[in-house]
Amino acid sequence: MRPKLRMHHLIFTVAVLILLVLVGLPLGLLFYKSFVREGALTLANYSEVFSDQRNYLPFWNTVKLGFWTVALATALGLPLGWLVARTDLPGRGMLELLCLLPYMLPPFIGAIAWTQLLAPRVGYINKLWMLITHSRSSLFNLYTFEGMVWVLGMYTFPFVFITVRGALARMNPSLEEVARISGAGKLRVLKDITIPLVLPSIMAGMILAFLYAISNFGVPALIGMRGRVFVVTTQIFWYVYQHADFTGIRLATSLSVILVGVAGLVLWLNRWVLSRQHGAAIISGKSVRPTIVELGRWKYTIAVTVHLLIAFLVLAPLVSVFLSSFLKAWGLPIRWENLTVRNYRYILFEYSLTRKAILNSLMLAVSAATSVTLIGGVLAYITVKTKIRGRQALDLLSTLPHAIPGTVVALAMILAWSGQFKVNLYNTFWIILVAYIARYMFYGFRNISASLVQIHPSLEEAARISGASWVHNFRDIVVPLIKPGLIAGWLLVFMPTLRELTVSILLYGPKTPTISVAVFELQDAGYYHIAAALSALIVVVLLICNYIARKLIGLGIRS
Amino acid sequence: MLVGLLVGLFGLAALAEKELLMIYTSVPIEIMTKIEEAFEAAHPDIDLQIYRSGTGKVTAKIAAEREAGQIQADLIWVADYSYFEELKAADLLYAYESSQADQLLPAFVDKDYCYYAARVICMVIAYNTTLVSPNEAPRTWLDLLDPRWAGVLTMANPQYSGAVKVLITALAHRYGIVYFEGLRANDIAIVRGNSKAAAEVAAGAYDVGVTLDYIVRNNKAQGSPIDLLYPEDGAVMIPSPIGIVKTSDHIAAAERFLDFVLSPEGQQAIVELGSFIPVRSDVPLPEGAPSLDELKVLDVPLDYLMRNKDYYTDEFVRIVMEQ
Repeated sequence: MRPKLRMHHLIFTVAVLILLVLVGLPLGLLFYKSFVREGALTLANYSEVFSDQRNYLPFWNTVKLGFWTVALATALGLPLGWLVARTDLPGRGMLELLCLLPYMLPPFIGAIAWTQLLAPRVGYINKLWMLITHSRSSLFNLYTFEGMVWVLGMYTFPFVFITVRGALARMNPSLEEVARISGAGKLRVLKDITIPLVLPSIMAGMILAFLYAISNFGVPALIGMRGRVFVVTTQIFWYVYQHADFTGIRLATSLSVILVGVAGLVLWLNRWVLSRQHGAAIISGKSVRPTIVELGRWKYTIAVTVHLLIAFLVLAPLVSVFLSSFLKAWGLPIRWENLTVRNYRYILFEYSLTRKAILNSLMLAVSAATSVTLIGGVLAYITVKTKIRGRQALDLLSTLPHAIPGTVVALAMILAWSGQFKVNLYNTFWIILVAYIARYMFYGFRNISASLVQIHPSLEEAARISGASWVHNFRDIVVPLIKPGLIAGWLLVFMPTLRELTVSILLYGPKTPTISVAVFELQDAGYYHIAAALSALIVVVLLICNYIARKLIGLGIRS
Repeated sequence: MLVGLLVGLFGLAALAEKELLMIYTSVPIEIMTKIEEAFEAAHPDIDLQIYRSGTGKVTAKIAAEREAGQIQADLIWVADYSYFEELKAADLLYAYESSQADQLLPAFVDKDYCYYAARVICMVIAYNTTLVSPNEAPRTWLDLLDPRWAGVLTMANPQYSGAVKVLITALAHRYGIVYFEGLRANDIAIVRGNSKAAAEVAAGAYDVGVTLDYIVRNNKAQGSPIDLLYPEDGAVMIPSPIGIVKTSDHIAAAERFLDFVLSPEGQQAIVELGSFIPVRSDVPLPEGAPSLDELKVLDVPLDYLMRNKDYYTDEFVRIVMEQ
């Protein structure tokens, strides 16, 4: 028995070490460096951040952006969630699918798509307006603060939608019934029973939207920077991008720690509010049939309006991307003689950057997903199935890089892995992979933990009593049982890493572009029609992957 | 997943047989890939790798790599010619007397053969032909400050584009820093690079833009409603140099690329593929381009440029670009 015991301890130790080196070390270093100047501990970096308008304006813009995005996301997601979960609206399945669609796509594609519609004077909607009114000026200008809020709102409302719909569907209906029997009107029930009960879920969705908005890079970079509106992520990018010699990194580190502080504060506020609620038992996990509100004679009017509105908000930008991807040059009217498939031929067969990027992103996504599944699997096993001390810290360490903005994770990687510890990965494939693994460890860890919890200890005990070693037990009992969880976890890492922008844009080198970096570069260089073709390709691939993932996960649950 | 890995491995294996040559350049990627194809067709044993970005980004990258110990590029080809004087002073360029050296116009050959201009580009005024008639279009740099163009002007970022860096230094040299304030007063939109400025004008997002002549000629040839004029107070002429990095492990291959670009065939390709003005007199000009003798140039002395370009770039950012 002895050597086998050591074997699994070795595996545990290696997994924990990897996590410490990948996550603990870089983030610790970033935090430490933000307080150091010329070898001495000081707050000088922070005071400099707040004494320069170039730094505090982006900070203020970030907070405002988060706030208004949440407002818009809630205004859309809340009523939609209610309509789908609690009414007899016809076509709810379709509506739900539409609301989930933006969730599958990265917001920088959304920024590109909305540019096609709302760019001043050349977006399709503005063109239409100018054509109708014979005006020389546009109706909308996307390159503004409001433009950023709009696009981010379109990509964050699904968070609110999903959480609200879930809470409403799982809510115990008897409470509402009791209130109604006691003579409360519909509105009174809504105000006094329903809303207080789902409030924690609404808040959870809002907080997700807030964190998503303040840590997003693609939208502020493609829309805000153009209108001279900087946020923290774009300011950090600009420091690193413009001063590749690390002169701006000092300020960037302080800015990142502040950004993490904002994110942390919001998460803490959420916890504090939740701890004062006692709703846990009232929203049960069991399936209950919620009371359905009948919309009555307004049913069809509401259905048509809502469907058209959401279909427009979700699909119109995508359609315009597809249309533009066939144009010979951006801004040409959509006529038969202006259409071509040349853009697709160019990105797939002629342009070495996009070909390299597609290959590189595939290798990165496969490697990251596989590594996360392996390491995350072992870590999840330790936390769920063993009593090793300090296992809670693993949970925190694997969640941390997911909770803090990608820009900060990338910056931490640059600090740690460009020669600081005699290892220089800067500009290589490996630094991107390391960052991806750190950032997406959460998905592997959480998914596999969830599957592991469901395995009854008796199965493993039986294996061990029959004389199986830990490795055998893991291979023959645990892995087969959690296989669907493993596959789902793998895909949940594969899909986002395939189109990751925020981290990649700071870490890519001349030989290691990623797909999203290629799209960003093409868009930023003014090749809108070619960027549209690559975006369209990403959309198609992601939708197919999502479909397969859903099928696989569905199969896994049933078997 | 397996297929992805296999494709990746085969791809790597196929590349490994050729000599890899890395060029850092600001030549637009669409044109650079065509030049790559022409070069690789003539030199099938070399695989030219391109890192393409704005001059500002390329130079920052080289600075970072110098600090780390080794410049990853074998060749550098960017727009800001004064930058090559800095590289040469820092002893980073490999002196190579190209077989083509005596065929080029003398102004485009460094006296120590450390670098050669391989194309000539000019900062000019571009306008959208459906929105602006040729008579209305601004004819001088000062015309851009006319309130008529408020809100419908665009140009690229000097932190990114080396050509724009030269342009704003030349404009400040001629008209003073007050010129920048005039641009801000007209709410000029700053986009990243010159290709984007041209694309925005061609698409009709802005009436008038400041950009590079060859980009406008290319867009026009593709059917976009855009045209250019060389300003009457002088276009900013930029001989865009190419040089070999001294620490390169592929000097011989780099020399072959240099010879190719400067040869009649290479210059012909550059004219046809990029609509650049050639550096040899025996290669015909692209259609619509002026000859270098006729071209009126807004001059800026080289030492003035080297001393002041970073200062004016910072001032430009402060005055024109900040919120």
